[in-house]
This record gives sequence, C-alpha cells and structure tokens, in this order.
Amino acid sequence: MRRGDPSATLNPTALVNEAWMKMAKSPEIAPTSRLHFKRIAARAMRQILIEAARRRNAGKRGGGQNVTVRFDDSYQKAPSCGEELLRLDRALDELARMNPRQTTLVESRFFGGLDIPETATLLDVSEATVLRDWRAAKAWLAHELREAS
Amino acid sequence: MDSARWQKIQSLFHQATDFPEAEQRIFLESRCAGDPALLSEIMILLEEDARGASLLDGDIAQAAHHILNEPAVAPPPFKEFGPYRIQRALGEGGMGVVYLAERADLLDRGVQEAQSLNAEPEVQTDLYETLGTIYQKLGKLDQANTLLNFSLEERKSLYGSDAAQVAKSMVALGLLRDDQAQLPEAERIVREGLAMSKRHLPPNHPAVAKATSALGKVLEDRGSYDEAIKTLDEAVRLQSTKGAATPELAVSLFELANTHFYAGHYDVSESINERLLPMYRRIYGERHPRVADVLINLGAIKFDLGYYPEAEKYDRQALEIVQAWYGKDNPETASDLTLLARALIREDHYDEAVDLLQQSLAIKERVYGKVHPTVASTLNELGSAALLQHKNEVAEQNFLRMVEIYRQVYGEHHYLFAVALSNLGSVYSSREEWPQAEKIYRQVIPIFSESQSANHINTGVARIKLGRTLLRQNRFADAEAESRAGYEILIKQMDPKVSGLTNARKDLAEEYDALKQPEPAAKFRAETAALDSKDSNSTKK
Repeated sequence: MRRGDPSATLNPTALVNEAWMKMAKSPEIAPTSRLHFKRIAARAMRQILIEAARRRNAGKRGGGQNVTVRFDDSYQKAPSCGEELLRLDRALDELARMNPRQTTLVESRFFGGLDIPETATLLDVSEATVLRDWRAAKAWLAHELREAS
Repeated sequence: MDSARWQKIQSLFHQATDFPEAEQRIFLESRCAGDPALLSEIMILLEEDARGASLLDGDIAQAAHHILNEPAVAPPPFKEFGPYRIQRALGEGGMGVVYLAERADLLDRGVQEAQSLNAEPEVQTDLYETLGTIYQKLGKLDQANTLLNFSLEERKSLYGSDAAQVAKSMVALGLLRDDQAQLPEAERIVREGLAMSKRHLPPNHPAVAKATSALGKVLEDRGSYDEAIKTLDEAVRLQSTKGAATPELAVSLFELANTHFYAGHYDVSESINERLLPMYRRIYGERHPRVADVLINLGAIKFDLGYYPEAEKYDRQALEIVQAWYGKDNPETASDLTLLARALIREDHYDEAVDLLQQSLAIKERVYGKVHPTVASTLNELGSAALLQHKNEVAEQNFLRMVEIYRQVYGEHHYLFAVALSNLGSVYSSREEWPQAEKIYRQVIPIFSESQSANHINTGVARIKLGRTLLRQNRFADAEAESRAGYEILIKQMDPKVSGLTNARKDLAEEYDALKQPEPAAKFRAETAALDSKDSNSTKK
C-alpha cells in the first residue's frame, strides 16, 4: 500500500535546484543557462503532473475515489486536483495557440516556480510585461477552468 | 479565438484595470461599440481578475503533492485473452491463485515456443507480437515491452527499417507506451508507424486504419479531444465496410464515444454507444464484458446528465453481465456495484443501495485489505446513505472507519483525512451534539486551508458547517463570522441554487436577525426568494 508523506512539501524551486545540482557538471553555470534549464524543468513538471493526473483518471469512470466534504443535506462534488490540472493543461494548449510566449510564462511561473525577474530574463521582456501578461493569462485561464467544471 | 483578438482583449483589459471598478464598464462600452461580444469577454476577465481564486493563485506544490500521492484507481484488470476468463491477480482463494498460475505457465511456454522458431522468423515475430500484447493486457508491461521490442527488432532485420511489418510493430509499441502513461513517446511512435504504413500500403488497408485508430486513442489519452475526434472519425470511415461491422471498427467507435464523453458531447457519445451496443452483442455475445463497458458508458452519460432512473437501468444490466463473467468476488464487480448504488442513492432507494455497497465493501476488503483508500471511498458512500436515512449510529461507524483509514494511509495533515472527519462531523450535527461537531470543524478547517487552500470548496463548506454549530449554540457573532466567510468562498465557485448554499443563506439571515442587523438579513432572504422563484419557473430534469 502506498503511503504519502504528509509532512513533505514539494517545492518546485527545491526540486529544480536538486535536479540542476545533479545534472550540472560544474557549479559555474551562466544565469541564462540556469534559466533555460528551469524552463525545461517547468515543462517537464507540467508533463509529469498532467500524466499522473491522467493516469489517475484512467480506468473505469465512476469507480474511483470521489470523496468530498458533504453539506449536511446534499452532495457536492468538488473537482479533484487531478481534474483541475487536466483542465488547466487543455486550457494552456488553447492559450498556446493564441500566444505561445504567454503560455511559456504561465508554465514557468506556475509549474516551475520562477519569480518575476527570472521570468523577465527568460523571455527577454520587462518585468512590467511579465506582470501584465501573467495577470491577463491568469484571468483567462481561471475562466476556462470555471467553464469546464 | 485568434491571436489578434486575444491581443486586443488584453490591451483593453489592461486599460480598463486603470479605472475604478464602477467606471470600467463605461470605459469599455465606449471602446467596444459595435462588438458586444468583445465587451462581454473583457468583463469576464475583469471579474476573474477581481476574484483571484483559481488553481493558478494557489501553490503547484500542493497540487503536485496530491497528484503524486493520491492512490491510483484500482488498475484496470485485464478482461480476457482468447477464450479464457481472467481472474484478478490479487484475488484470494485457492481457485483464483491457481488459475492465474496457469496463465503464467501458458505464456512462459508460449515464449519458449516462440524462441525455438528461429527457422520461421516471420511466424516468430508474429508470435512475439501476440505474446507481447497478451502480457500487456495482463498488466505485465515490462514483459510486454521486451517482447514487442523483440518483434520490432526482428522485423527490422527481416524487412529493413522502413516496411509495413515494421510499422505494425511500431503501432503496437506505441499503444504499450500509452498504457505506460508515456504519452508524448506514445504519440511520437504511433505517428511514425502510421506514416510508415501509409508509405507502403494503400490508404484503406486495414493496417493503416488500425494505426489511425491507435493514434486517435493516444490523442484521446493526451486530452487532445478535437484532434482525437478527427482522427477516430477517419479510422471509422476507413473501417466501415458494406458487410458486418468488425471488431476493429467497434474498437474505434468505442474510443470515439469515450472521447466525445470526455469532451462533454453527451449527445454524440450516447448515440455512438447506442450504435455500439448491438455491434458488441453480435461480435462478442450478449454476456460479454465489452457489452457491459458500453452499458456502463451509457449509464455514466445518464448519471452526469441527472437521469438517474435511466442510469440505474444501464448500471443494472452491466452489473449482471460483469457478475456472471467475473464472479461475485471480483473488483470489477465491486466497482459496478458502487456505480449502481450511487444512482440508487440519487433516487432515494437506500435499502438496495446500502446492500450493494456492503457487497462492494466486502469484496474490496477481501482483495485490498481493510485499510485501503478504495475501501474508504465505499465507506463514505455508506456513511452518506446512512445519514440520509437518519441512521446516525451506522453513519458514525462508517465515517469513523473512513477517518481511521485515511489517518493510517495519509496522516493527519492530508485533506482526505479532513474530509472524513468533516463528514463525521455531519453525524454530530445531525444528533445536535453541537460542541462535538464544533470541535471537529475547528480541527478540519486549518487542515483544508493548509493542504488545499483557504479558498477551497472544502474549506468553505467546513466553515459554513462550523457556523451552523455556533448558531445553534446561540453564539451569533462567532457564527456570522464563519458562515459569512464560508459563504463568500463558495458563492464564487458554486451554483447559488445548490441546497447547501440555500441553507447557508438561511443561517445567515437568522444570525443577522439575532445580531439586530435587519439589512443583511433581508438581503439574504431576498436572494433565497429570488432563486426559489427562478426554480419554480424552470423545468426539472
């Protein structure tokens, strides 16, 4: 039986640094290479999580574990983390068709944990641009998630 | 939406955010004159921006923690290969274990036979591929990988690296990768196999159709529903002949029906499934599990649409078949028992639902042991059914067990542990044991906040429930704080007509009355009245 470790947290920055340490032959890595690596890692994280979520959703519909907090007098189904991530994945694909750079931004910030200055350097834009693009993308994606549920 | 329009929307969105909320619409109306759709799209963005309560506002670390630590649903047991019935590998009982040992013997013998066929390499590669596919169906993916790779390599050396036979191996390997959840790799390999088969075979050759169908399945599993539908439509077109439907066509249609279901096209999915039913009956026989699969899909469509009697009908038919095929003790049966029970609960047929859930529980406990999350999920259904029947003691027992399972499996900081506790709290509320209920909700709220988020639906529901326990203890100020906080969280995410929110509004009206604040009391009463009158005008499902 699988046991989760309830006290462990999965900090994306910690994960990325750990992987970087393992992969890098030398600690003297140029900042842009490090960012490039983070970008790839963010993409990889997205894929890993989406595939894990999809795997959880595979198998017969309805036979899974939809346990939810009940109101005292009715059933409410809250979407599981897995389902929300899958919806986000689809919405991101849609966003990529409209604006690929913005999708990279969301991936890097949400899946990769890059901060604003890092994201600006990665995409070669100003921090103000990053903030604006992030704000608009977040609003649009939030609406897509809501519509899909 | 195309990128030019998205650009325009964003530009106006950002300009609008410079204005105070009350003036944003006026500004936009002047800039969007003649394009009401544009105005509407931007207003939606502004609303979401103001809400700030989506998955993206939270922490991916928490989401990742849940995804990577949630147990998978029970792995899909293989159904059949050839004429043999398959028992589940984990099944206890002498007959089950012996039966599976016979499978392994046969397969090992098959592999040995294949290895001795060096004098007939073409037959050998076919046998490797067949055996590999069987191992795949048995869930032994490593052995399947070995055999399918044998087949691929041998075919390359026999026919060259670009040949129809090699394409066939690539498609098989791609489908294995799909089962292994290596989806980008699966898509890459299947695409290559499909292109290769098109180079060497006429466009309507069965192998081309099969490769097309395989690509459709992989796209479906990747969630690329639009492309999956196009691809599967093409496979169906290629596989439709004037004669009787073939199993290959049926498989493509099945995947197409599923894809439409996941994409939310219930009507289309339903009509394809209805077409599939007689097809599967004819190809496999009336009592075959594949027929049950289609019935379950039809039941799932009906359930999601709220047509519970129809869902019950389909689930019942499916259960009959599955029970006869796999036996009463099989997890496949347990799964279908739960599906039927859920429909019955929606129809208030509690006695039968409980009976089925208890059967399901017994099977799961036998197969997975007494402390397993899938057992807990059935306990949850049992507890809920008992609560609805006001059988508080039974509900309490079930929820207590559920709490204990999640405590052991996930620990006391996991949201599922909190869900179980919270549902247990409903029992105390039902018995009007308010101090005990209060204690529980005060325990779960921080767990939800930390493990999910302060704005999660679970947090909101728990705060509303806490509010009610405080209201019933006449602690009106404390009650209002919790009820209001919970309500604000939920109203942003849920349909306001949901009965839990209606009751929350009633709680709030009572609290404001007691606090001598007539205006908010009236406001919440008015909202309830407005929604009630909308309801009586709309048609019920």
